[in-house]
Amino acid sequence: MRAGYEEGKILWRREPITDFLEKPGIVADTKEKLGLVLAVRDYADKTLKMNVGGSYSSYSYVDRPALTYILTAVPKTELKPYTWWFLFVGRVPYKGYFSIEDANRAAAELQREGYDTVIRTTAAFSTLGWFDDPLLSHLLRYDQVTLANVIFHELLHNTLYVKGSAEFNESLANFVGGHAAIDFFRDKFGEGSAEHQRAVLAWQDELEFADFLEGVTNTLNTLYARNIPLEDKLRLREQVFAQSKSEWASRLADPQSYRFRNFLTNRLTTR
Amino acid sequence: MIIQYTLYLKNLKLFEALYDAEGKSLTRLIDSIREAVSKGGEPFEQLHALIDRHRTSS
Repeated sequence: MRAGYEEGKILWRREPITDFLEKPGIVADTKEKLGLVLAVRDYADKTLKMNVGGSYSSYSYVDRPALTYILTAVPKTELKPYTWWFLFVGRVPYKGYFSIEDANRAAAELQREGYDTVIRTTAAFSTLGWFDDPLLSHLLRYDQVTLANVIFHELLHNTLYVKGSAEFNESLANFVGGHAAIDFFRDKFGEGSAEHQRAVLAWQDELEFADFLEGVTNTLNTLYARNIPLEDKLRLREQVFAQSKSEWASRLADPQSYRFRNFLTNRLTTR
Repeated sequence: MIIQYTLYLKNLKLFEALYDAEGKSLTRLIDSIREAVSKGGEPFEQLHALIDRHRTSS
């Protein structure tokens, strides 16, 4: 009920970006980013042949510190997430809440059942083409490369979505978002332009972190499969987490790397 | 939590390989993936089969 109300509010507040841009007093950075959004949308439609519909042709102000709170849960010694089932998307390894109190209550319940939980915020989501998703005001805090990447990512969900296969959908959208941003900035500003280079570097960071993470998950899967007491697994995994953070911190010493810094600060387990 | 990252980063190398096989065209990549997963089954397995077909035909 709350979700329907909040989604309705977002849709009700939509106004065409072209109209919004004509209002007096819009700051230059906002104008520039909204113009970029329309250009990204056009590129996704005409060049990439994505299912754009009316998405991202409108803007909606969100009067909340975070759009939604996304809860994820996983058994303490297994890398297989808890899943929820929803009508249109099938089984997914996360659940969104519009209230942090509701998210905390659900997380506490899962923790009592023995799960690690994490709650994160998100600034964008896709209704998979069911509605014309507006650009939400939260997204304007991103730099241009990230903003373009997110829009391509969400539009890919409108274009291709396999019900009940969240890892596939999100990883494909991530891949397309990263590469579409590279192509878009190359075509818009030129090969080797500052924007194009930033998009290329962002994707290289993505690949490097994915490679690093594969090593971490292999180590954890090996540990979790060992025939040792649960207490030992829990103790040893803390060592894996600490070593992983240390290794990633040393890689971030490279001044070009700027993404995934939150791996160092995020808690990897709940107590 | 590791899962919050792996959700978005699974098999990126597989997507890269398919992207190369499709001449670095995102439009062709999306079309070929759409066709592959339309057959049903686990989508990553369908993509592995697709890349195998590319390799045998080249």
